[in-house]
Amino acid sequence: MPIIKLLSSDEEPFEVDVDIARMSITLRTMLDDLGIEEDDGEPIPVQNVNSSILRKVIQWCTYHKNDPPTPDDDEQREKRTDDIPSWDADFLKVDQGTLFEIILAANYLDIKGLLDVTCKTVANMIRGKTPEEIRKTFNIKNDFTPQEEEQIRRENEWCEEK
Amino acid sequence: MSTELPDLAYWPPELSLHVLSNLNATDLCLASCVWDELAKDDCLWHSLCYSQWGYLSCYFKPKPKNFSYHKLYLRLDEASVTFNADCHLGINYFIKYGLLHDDPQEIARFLHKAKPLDRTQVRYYLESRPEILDSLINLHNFDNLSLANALRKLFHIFETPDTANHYLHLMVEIFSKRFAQCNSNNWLFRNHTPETIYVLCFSLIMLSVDLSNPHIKNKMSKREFIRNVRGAIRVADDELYGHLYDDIYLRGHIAK
Repeated sequence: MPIIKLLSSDEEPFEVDVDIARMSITLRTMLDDLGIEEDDGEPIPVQNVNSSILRKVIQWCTYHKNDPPTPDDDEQREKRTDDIPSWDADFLKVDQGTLFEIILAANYLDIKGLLDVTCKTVANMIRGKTPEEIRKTFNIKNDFTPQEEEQIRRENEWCEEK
Repeated sequence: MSTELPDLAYWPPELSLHVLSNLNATDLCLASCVWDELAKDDCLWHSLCYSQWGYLSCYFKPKPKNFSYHKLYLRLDEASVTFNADCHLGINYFIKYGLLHDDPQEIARFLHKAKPLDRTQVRYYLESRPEILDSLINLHNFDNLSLANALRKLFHIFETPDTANHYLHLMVEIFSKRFAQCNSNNWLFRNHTPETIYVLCFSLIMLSVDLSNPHIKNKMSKREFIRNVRGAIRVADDELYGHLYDDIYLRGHIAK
């Protein structure tokens, strides 16, 4: 299996199987454009991702390397967030700051599966919560005046009947 | 580095929308008390509409000036609640508000893809509109399925009435035509027509009842089943009948 070298933003080198690196569309495009098939000595810089996050991303990709390709977003897909595989759920038991960094990295590297599962994890922190609880989760100060608050509550009355 | 999750309002917009796209309508409404603009983004409501009501005539019409999928969602929700209380009032509501054309083919396409509708109310509606039942069954594919599994699929999609009434007969009759059409190149059914498939279907329904009802002590044997079916439809196809018997015997009732 050919190996390539990646360089994190804090300049730590990582050796990765080409097939695992190619799960990132960003890296795949780069490798194809540069015609790189295996390590030629020059590490590929991954500018926006530091070593602790890159390590996590590589770990996720290694575990999922044999997954079937994710289907394109189907309009008729059921909205559900309870289908996170248990390995991923354990993998994402990290502090919230790290979770956010992984989302940014998955977006930058364009790894759809990782982006989906991390965004679902955040959605689960919102699901079934009252606005007050959501604010607490995201450390948001309620800066509405009582009048504005009442106005918004009225606009969204529909959901409280449910 | 912060160890907290930043406020969604300060995320790159494509990422905050990706998170919110996982929520259902109720959670999204609650979230809009926190992130008013973000959670009102119409692309979220567009995808919620399509995920619940996959086909509507109004999707293909020019949109009025102040149209939004958020408003459409609330309207569709109201219409579906009405349908689940009374199917006829519900369909009238969909038609009155221009969500659905009053056309059997359109209504069939709508019922085919709508998720929030109550199965029993759908059955009541179809019992009164046989032409829509016909269109609807013809929207389904039954190729590459054994007859037993195709029937299981049929009864999974449509609620079965408690008694073998006119509706059940009509449903199986339309299904038999559709099944014959889907399997016209299937060598297994080379000797069969929609009429013989119809009889076969009812033989399988009766066999299911016979084998699964604990009060029936003397179960029909495979030999008896084959003989009965051959007597009823006068096509000697013992191997097929035997396979069907085994299928019901091993996998259980056709309508459960």
